[in-house]
Amino acid sequence: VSPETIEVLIRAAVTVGAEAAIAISKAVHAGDVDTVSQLSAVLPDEHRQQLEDEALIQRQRALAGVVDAT
Amino acid sequence: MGGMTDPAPVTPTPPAPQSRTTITPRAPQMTAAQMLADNVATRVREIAAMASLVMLAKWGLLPGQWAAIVIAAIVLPIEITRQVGKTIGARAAALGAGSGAVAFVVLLHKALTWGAIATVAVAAVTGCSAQQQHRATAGVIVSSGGVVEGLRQSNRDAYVHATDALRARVQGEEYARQSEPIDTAFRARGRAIRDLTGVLYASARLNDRPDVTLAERAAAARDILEQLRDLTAILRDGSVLPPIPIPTAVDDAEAGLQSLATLVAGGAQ
Repeated sequence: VSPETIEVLIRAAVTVGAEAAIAISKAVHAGDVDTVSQLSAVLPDEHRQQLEDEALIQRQRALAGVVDAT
Repeated sequence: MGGMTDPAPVTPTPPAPQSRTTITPRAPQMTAAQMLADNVATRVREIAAMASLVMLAKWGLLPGQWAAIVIAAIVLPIEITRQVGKTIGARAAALGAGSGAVAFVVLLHKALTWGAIATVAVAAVTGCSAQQQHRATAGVIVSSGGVVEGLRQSNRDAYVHATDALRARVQGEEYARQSEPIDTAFRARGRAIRDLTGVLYASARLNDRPDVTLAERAAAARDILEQLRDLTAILRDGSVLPPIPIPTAVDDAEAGLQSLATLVAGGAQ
């Protein structure tokens, strides 16, 4: 994911706690846009939108069979 | 039949003396053109007064009941003076006597009517109260939220369409390599759309600062306009992804900022 997304995930950890932030991170990497939307609903809109966009990128990559090394 | 005699000649009777109550115009009659002009002026004044009151109520964002009360409180005195003026005027004309009360009531009626118009005109010139401006700004911000959401959806649609088309041609590592510029453009647009929220908010806030001078507003408008154009340029760029249609509301905001910004060039202080 992009460095900006990692920064947002770190900020999310401060807001919603480490466990919730890890769950959001997993959903982003899995490309599960709906779950990201639900879990990040309490975050500021701009952060939630960025995480959703990143999840969409990961979803398209997963559909194309891209194996993420991370 | 033939034996009938000629009727006696009719002696014309003198006209009866005029009653004191006979209407005798005291002033020269108005010409038809004058009456028409007077009538038109009255109607224009009335329509302007009613339209002004409706605008006043709308500006004040009053609930329906309060708006009705405010309008009634202003309209009723005007209508009462009009009816009183008619009554007094008719009685004075019937008596053939002049009445200072007529002139007074007519003047009062005109003063009340024009007073209502002038009040709204002053409100229009000086602007709404801070609270009303804040409400109006909040309305703009809420609507800009819908605009931004529409842009986000357009951006996602364009991205999904482009990557679906790419996936139909290549898979795996080749997809990862070729999708990189698409991903970059998508992220850049997402960032621009998120920043656009703040720019539209700042644009709306420009009208919510009565303490700022016109020159300061114009200078701020120039800065915001520059940011807005930079952001919309990113969305309009069709080199990697198809350009995103810019909503009319954004164009309107740009036009408003442009108008305000040019005041500086015009030397407004």
